[in-house]
Amino acid sequence: MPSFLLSVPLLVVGALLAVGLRSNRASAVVALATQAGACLLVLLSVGPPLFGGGAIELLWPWPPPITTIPFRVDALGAFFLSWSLPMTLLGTLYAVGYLRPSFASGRQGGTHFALLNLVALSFVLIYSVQNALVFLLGWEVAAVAAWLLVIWEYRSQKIRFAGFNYLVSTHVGLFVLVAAFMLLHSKTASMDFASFGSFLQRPSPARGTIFLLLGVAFALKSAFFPFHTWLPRAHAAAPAHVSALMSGVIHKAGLFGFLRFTLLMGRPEEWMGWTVLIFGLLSAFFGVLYTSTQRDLKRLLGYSSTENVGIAALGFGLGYLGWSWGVPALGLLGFAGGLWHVLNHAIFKCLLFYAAGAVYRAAHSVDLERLGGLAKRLPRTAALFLIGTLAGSALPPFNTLLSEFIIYMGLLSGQGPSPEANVVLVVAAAGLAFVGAVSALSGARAFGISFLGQPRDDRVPVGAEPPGSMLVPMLCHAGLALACGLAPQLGLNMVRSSLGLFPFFTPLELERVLAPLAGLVYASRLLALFLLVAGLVRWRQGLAARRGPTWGCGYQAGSPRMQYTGSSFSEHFSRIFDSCMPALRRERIASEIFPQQPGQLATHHADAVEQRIFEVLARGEDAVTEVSERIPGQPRFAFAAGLCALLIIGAIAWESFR
Amino acid sequence: MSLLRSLRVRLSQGTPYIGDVRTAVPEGFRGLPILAETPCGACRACVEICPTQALAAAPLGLDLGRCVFCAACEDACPHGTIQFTPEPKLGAGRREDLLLTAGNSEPLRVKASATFARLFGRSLKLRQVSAGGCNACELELNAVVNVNFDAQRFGIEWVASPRHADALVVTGPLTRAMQEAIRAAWDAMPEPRFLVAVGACAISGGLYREATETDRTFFESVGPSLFVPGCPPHPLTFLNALLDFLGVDA
Amino acid sequence: MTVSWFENWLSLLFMPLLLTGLVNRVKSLWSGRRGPPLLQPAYDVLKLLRKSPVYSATTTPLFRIAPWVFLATACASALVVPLCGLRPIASFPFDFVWFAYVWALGRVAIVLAALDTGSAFEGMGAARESTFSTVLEPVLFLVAAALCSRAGTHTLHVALRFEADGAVLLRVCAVLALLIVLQVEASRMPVDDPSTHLELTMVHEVMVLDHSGADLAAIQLGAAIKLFVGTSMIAALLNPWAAAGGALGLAANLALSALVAVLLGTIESLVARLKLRSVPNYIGIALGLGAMALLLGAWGAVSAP
Repeated sequence: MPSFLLSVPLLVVGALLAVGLRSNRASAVVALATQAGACLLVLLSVGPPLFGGGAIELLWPWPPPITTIPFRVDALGAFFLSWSLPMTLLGTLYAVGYLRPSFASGRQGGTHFALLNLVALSFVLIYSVQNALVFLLGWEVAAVAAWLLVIWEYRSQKIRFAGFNYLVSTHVGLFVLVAAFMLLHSKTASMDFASFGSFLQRPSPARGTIFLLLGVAFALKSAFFPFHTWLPRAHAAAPAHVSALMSGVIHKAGLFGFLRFTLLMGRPEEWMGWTVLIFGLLSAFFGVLYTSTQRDLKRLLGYSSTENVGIAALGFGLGYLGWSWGVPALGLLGFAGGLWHVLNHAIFKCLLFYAAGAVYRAAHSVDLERLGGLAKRLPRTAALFLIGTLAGSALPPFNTLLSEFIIYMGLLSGQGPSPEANVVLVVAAAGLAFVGAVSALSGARAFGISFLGQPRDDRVPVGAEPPGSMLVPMLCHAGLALACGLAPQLGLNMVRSSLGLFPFFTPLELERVLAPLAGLVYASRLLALFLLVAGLVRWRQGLAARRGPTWGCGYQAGSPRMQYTGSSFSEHFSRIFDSCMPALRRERIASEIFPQQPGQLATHHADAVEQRIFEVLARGEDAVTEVSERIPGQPRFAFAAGLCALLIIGAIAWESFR
Repeated sequence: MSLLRSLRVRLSQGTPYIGDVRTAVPEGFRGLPILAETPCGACRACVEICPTQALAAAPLGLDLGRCVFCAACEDACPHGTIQFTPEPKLGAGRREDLLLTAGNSEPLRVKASATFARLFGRSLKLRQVSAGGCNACELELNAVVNVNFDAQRFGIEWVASPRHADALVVTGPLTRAMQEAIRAAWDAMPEPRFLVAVGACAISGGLYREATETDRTFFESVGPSLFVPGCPPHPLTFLNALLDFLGVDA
Repeated sequence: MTVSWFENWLSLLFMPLLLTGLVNRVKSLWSGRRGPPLLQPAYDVLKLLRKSPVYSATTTPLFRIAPWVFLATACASALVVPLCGLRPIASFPFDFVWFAYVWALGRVAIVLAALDTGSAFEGMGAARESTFSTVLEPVLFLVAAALCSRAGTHTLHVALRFEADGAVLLRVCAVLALLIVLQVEASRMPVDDPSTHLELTMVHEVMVLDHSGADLAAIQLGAAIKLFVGTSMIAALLNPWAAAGGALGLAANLALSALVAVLLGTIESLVARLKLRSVPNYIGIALGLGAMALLLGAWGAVSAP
């Protein structure tokens, strides 16, 4: 069996060819072909580790001082690889159709396709390499490639800023990661994950620090709250397939890193589990709050990503706690639920972004307040977006309910060591229920306001349904969402072997804790069957019924502008959580009884964390300016400062030469 | 405790609903006019004085659909030929049934509709549209569901949306301003449905028959299935007419 | 008691409409009317099934499918609840999670159908409904977890079974919290007025303004089933003869269900609807009750002999 590493040169060749070729179509074909080839290679190679076989170990020789690069694809890496590469392929296919209007007006797409190849390449590196430096290289390749992909529309200043914001944030994460690796290197004098692991397994004071540093780095990558501020801007700026790949696939590398170091670290301490659990809950809570108030569809979906990685972290935190308490059932439920949620989220989030891209392509706007009635003009997109919304809100019979059910099972099982712990876990479950209900509100709002009713703004153009190259990825994801919901073994089999990496795993225990899932799936299937039959029957029966206008109490001067808007829909809810979500309200409302001019009212919900960051930065800048302005004004102060600096340098030099 | 107090208040009120609406006759109500065979000297005093030209002489006839129950004719008649009785049952299923002739003494009974009785006999939802009237009919229709008359015990209820309704109950002479609204309300109703005209204004235009703002084309395109005369009609008139129409036994 | 499909479906066929009729009857009696017959909701539904619907041109096929999704989810939730104290048809550990999420699916379907009409009123009802349900979801989980930890099981119908184990305060908190849940989900006072015709005061009523014919019948049936399911849960918690089974247990359960319906009708007749901005605070009371039940359940499980 050819080594999966052959995909690396394949992808590089594909990238170079894509850049070099003149014709956009040729670039696209080359990129698709090489990615398909890479996909095939990787899937064939990682099949055995994924389905129960042993890990693949490879050593790649390299010039000194590195000498060899160790690769190891175990079940966890295989799991992530098995869906990252195919989804990148689907994203590239989507790009072909999505960017066609840009290509038609003369843009060169070669670089874009090459970057997509590089993204796929970065996955192969990140998920398989065991050397910290090459891991950082893959990390950096992914970050820079993603940045360049985000600024496809670089002519707009807003988009350039969003891209820059993303670049800076991702490099802050990189620095924290480098700090963690440096700390580990100083303790182990090696760059190998294996030696990191053996150090981390032993209890030491540095263990907690390294855990926190790695946690922050991976939280920045995966857009946890409060490190998420770059995500909504980047998603709003990027083309739809780039947003989809970032949200669904690229940022999952953070969760992968987290899990990889979890396995390397061995049995965690209890405080680590609580930290992860609470952090995940906070992310889910704030993510979903912001989701419910955004007016830009893609920003909305970006915050929803924060919410979902929070839910996955909730599961991981539960797993940590189970591991530290020595309760295998909780550990298995937590990690199984969290891992499966990562996959489920990738499935429905990509679908939602693809559908949002189709909306943008047809209407040139993703502003909820201007859309409406799109279901009449884009019925296929509407149906696919609806499936994505229902899956995203964890509603039966789709896949996300099952992974959340597993997390619920763990939180509500009452198997904690003390009543206090059990109470906190149940409160976390209640928090998860709240998050689910709010995401149902946000989903109904996003779908209902943009696709249902009547168009709110006549100036929004009427477009066409997306072409086949855009529909195929959407159909694949929608089909997967339904299939994984009705046949959970599809997802569970992929996750099972990753669970086997944990020392507390026993196949019997896993079967025992997942047994209630069968009842849920049976009920879901019955419901799905009934819904299918009832839906078809009602659809057919209604075709011949009489039609008329919506009953508006006989009011003859109605207009589509009187419909509920996105902000009206979430107004009552956002008012309850006013303290967490600052709302900016701009209004120019006339005070006289018969106004001569039309008034204006607009509400925007800014990101509280981002606002605070900018405030602090601005204040810091002011402070620095203030201080630096003083120095030249008082020469004696400058003289004294210079003397101090000389003294300190002299002292250090004397110490080091002694 | 306020619950006990509410219970005490409720018990002190007794049973305010009218037990048998089919035979109740309201005291002091000006209802069915009885036209005596004799004596009528054809002096045309009643014809001249009627504000809506509801009366005809030789032979004596009274159009209940135009009558506003002012009893000016009763006062004007030198022979006492016209007598208003408190009988409330005045509804009719056809416009011509409202034309009273001399010698009538029986209360008007609506013929039960076969189709509607089967469908709505136990559950009838009504939607009211007020098309330019003085609101007296609307007040009386409002009273149909109060504690005295309690139409809900027969499954008859007012609903908010014509989509939920089986019958459209129209009051007022139908003005030009309400044309589109009433058309919208009727079109919004699912079949099977029927139209009820309540009050002199709705049935014949009443006092506003000749007014410039009156526009009764809707009634010409959709004929009412039930006519409830009065100005305004008593809730018992309306209720009995409906119950007869639906074939509900006394 | 073995699972009996026939008895469960029989109770699901008759009880929901009867209970709704009972609530309406109690309201009528309190106001001095004679009121509609107990089976009036059934007559209404049968009549609606014979009407041919009219659809708004603004709507999509979603509009005519959504009411049946609502009905299906109401029935699906009834599968795991002890209806009339009977053993449910399909129960499995953690089935209350299924219960909550299936009700959420029904709610999303009705909300989407309301937004489909493009009417400002219906959007208003959809927004209010969604907002109240977000504060309500955790309550169900808190109460279920409290009862589960007390009963040492994770299946809903077992947790709801009355045990003479002295956990009176927990049971009282659970019953009160479930009562508030019922008031919100079945659109009862003081959260919502089911008989109002003023759009400013509607929540559920306004969302169904444009449905007609069989669709409206499906929605009314679904709402009645939700009322029945909620009442069954409360009755199961209060029924001391549940363990005895047989005719006595069933009769007691039916009497308790009737009592809950009478209580709902009484509250509806004597209490005015809350200000809209105060409703989340009212649901907050249920959250507090649920939290108290949880704390009682967690520590009670330790101190129980």
